Amino acid sequence: MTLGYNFQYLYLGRIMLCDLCGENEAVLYIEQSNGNTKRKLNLCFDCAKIHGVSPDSKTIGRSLAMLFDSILGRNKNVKPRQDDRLCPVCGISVNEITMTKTAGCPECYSIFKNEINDTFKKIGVLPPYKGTLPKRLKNFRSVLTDRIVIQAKLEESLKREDYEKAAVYRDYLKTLEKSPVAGGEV
Amino acid sequence: MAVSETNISSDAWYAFNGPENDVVLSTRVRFARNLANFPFPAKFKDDDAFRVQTLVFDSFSHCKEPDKYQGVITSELDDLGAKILEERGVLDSSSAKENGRGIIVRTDGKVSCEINNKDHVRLASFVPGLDGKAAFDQLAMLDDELQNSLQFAADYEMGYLTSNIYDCGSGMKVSCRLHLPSLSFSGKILALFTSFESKEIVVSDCFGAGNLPSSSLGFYYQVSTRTAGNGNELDQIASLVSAVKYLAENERRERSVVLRNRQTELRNRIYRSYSKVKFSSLVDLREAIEIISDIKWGKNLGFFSGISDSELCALLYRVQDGHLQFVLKSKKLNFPTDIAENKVLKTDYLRALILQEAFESIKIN
Repeated sequence: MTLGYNFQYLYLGRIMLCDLCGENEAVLYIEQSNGNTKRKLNLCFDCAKIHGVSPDSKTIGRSLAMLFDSILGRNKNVKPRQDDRLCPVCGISVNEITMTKTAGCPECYSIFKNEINDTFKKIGVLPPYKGTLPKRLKNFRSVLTDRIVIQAKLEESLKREDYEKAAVYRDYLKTLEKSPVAGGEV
Repeated sequence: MAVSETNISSDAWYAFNGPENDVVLSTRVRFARNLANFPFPAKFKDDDAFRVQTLVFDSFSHCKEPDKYQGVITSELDDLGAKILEERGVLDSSSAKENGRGIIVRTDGKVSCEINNKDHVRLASFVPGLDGKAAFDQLAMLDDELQNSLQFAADYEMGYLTSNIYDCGSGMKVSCRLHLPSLSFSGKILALFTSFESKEIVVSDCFGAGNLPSSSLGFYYQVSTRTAGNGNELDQIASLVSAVKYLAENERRERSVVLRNRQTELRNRIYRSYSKVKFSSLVDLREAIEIISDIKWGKNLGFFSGISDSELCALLYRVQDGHLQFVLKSKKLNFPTDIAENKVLKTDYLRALILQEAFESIKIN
């Protein structure tokens, strides 16, 4: 991959809308070619100004790099970049899991199953695992998931000042937390 | 001064003989376990840490013989207590002060449980010598008992789920401490260790780096399994035990090679260590480990008799700073007046005395 950028500034004869605001007419056409990949961007004057893009700026390289980053960030809505996804249960990012080879909670293993399987491959582990398992495995997942869901419902009802409902959720949470074993037999 | 009274670990597991004791000091098995309904310790929220701690302590109190276990909240341990537990390989004291951390030790010291260190529960067991099966069995029994009241996180395909992906599967790490002086001295050790890389076996030093290139202090090495997801527990134990046996056989073979080719160097090194300790007043920890190592090497080469491998193994624990400071604190000992106020020198002085007393019965062949 080359680090240098080739930029071309062209004035476009026909009307094209700005890729950033989508409202004004684009007057700057920028193309970044980077090895085999090419990215094109159309900007209006206002957006170009906001992002500090002008043809004779000496810092053009840096500001364009930032601009491309922010555009790519926007495109995420269409095609999410995997690395930024978070585990809804513990909040760890999938990036952190693969970089540090550390998971944040038991649920990470099912939520990011593909990434974790890739990590297994990298460290030379080939599931399925063939050794012993806990005596009781059935339904254990639901306990953690329940807790998260109910916690969210509790917070939601507190926000809505629906204290009666909140009390019900709180009681339910308490009983869940008292049962470390799935099925609640202690 | 009766130094023999300073042996606070005469009944510890490492004071006993075990299989292949001339090379293998000890075998350790560790299970990483996590409660199914909590995030792992690094991602704890609110009072998760305390709730896990309470559940685990509670689970031990429901064991068959709860009186056999002693539990401590590690933040309440004094520095010396934490240091001794760390020297015995039971506690990682670096994060011991964090909230919710705990340690449970069976009264015979063979089995222990760390709470909320990376995983909710880390069970560990030690046996002297090379005996992976024995170390595993005594831990599996405890694991079974805990599972009566704790639900550990697991997946049908991936096994036990742990904070570190390397531990996922059996949650098990098997490791052995080895004394490999002849292979280190001849330099053959490097090629052997390199050949292990593809076999999922990791080698590290026990007490820090040594003076020879790519050797460890006192030639004591830790050999462990790298991952926990392949095969079943028996396969994993077998892969480590076979690697350790291979190393032990190579070490024994190498003894006669170095004895034949470099006997003068060996005699110089080993007898010099023996005389150094005989006439020392102050010995620091690094030096002590090297001396103990040389005496063990000399014993196995046939230079000495009158001391056992288990006594030499126990010395490695007895000369550690925490163990010595505990003795200084609990026993009334007389020191020369010029060092009576200096804690470091008093520790070095006591270390020298303990070594001299332990080596008293050594006979030169």
